[in-house]
Amino acid sequence: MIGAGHETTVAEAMRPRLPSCTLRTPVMEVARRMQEEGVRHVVVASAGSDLIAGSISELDLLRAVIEGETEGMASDVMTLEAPPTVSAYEPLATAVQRMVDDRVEFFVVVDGSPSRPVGLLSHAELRAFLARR
Amino acid sequence: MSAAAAPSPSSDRSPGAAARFRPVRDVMRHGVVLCDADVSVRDVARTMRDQHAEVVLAIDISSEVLGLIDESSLLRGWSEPDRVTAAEIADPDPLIADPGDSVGEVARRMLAAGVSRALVAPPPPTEESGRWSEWKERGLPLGTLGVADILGRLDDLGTAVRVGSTRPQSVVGRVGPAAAVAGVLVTLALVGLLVFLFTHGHQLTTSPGCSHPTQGGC
Repeated sequence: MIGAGHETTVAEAMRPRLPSCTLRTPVMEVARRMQEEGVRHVVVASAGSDLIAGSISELDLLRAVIEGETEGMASDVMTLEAPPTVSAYEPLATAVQRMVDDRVEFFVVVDGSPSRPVGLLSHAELRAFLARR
Repeated sequence: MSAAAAPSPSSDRSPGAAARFRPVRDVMRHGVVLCDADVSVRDVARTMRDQHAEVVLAIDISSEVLGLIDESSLLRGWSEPDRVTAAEIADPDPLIADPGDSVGEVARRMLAAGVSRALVAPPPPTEESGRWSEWKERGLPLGTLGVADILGRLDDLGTAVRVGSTRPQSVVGRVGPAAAVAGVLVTLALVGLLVFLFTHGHQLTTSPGCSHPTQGGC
């Protein structure tokens, strides 16, 4: 379907590192991390576990800045909802279709049983994947 | 800056107010990358990579801008990236800001629209708000302002963006009627001047149209 063949999987396009912070990470530190890693989303994990409590987008951070909440912690500004996940072995075309249909901006890529987060699949990774084929 | 940012709220000319108002032109990324309307989605992706551009503008053969392409636009051509063209995935109606707008105000517009960036283009000669349909009146875009550009300079911009969420509106509200009256007076004066020139000034060569060279009047 996408030139690279039907069997291209999410794992081949994903960012193999999941940008993350904890519930208690200061908002300014989250902003810094987002800049350094060049990402638009950071997942918020409970300290010392793989349990994902929610996520923070750059628009969440912008809202915090506008409302003067930059002194707070990640838990103050995060979207309190487990981000959508996709299996590392799911066909990439299927994942992209789901991204379009569900208007999802990113997936947390999971692997194994019980599943562990292993990466990030966002519009940026898809752009990079398109460009290198 | 923050130490000086506690002025009396009654004066907009205080140093604190100056620190709070930051025009888009001070923060934006200057310059935009263009692509032809008929290049493939994959080529647009490569252009973004090679030019380190988060945004590409699709233009047609007469250099008219058709729309804005960002990473999320590429998904619209994902199924056939070598066949779907830039023109087909470009957004013809992006958020547009003037270079003189307040960063705080544009930040709020981005948040309200749920978009990560605004295209910065010169203001149209009319007072209409910027929509893409007025594109020709605006002329070529100057650059972009992204959420990341703001988040990357929070030490510098935090106050401007936060206070900008309430302050410029009230200023506009106060100035509005006065500006309208001034506009009417200026219009009357211009009409009077034109009438004078028309009746007396056949030896004068200056045309009002030439005061605005970018509009092609000269």
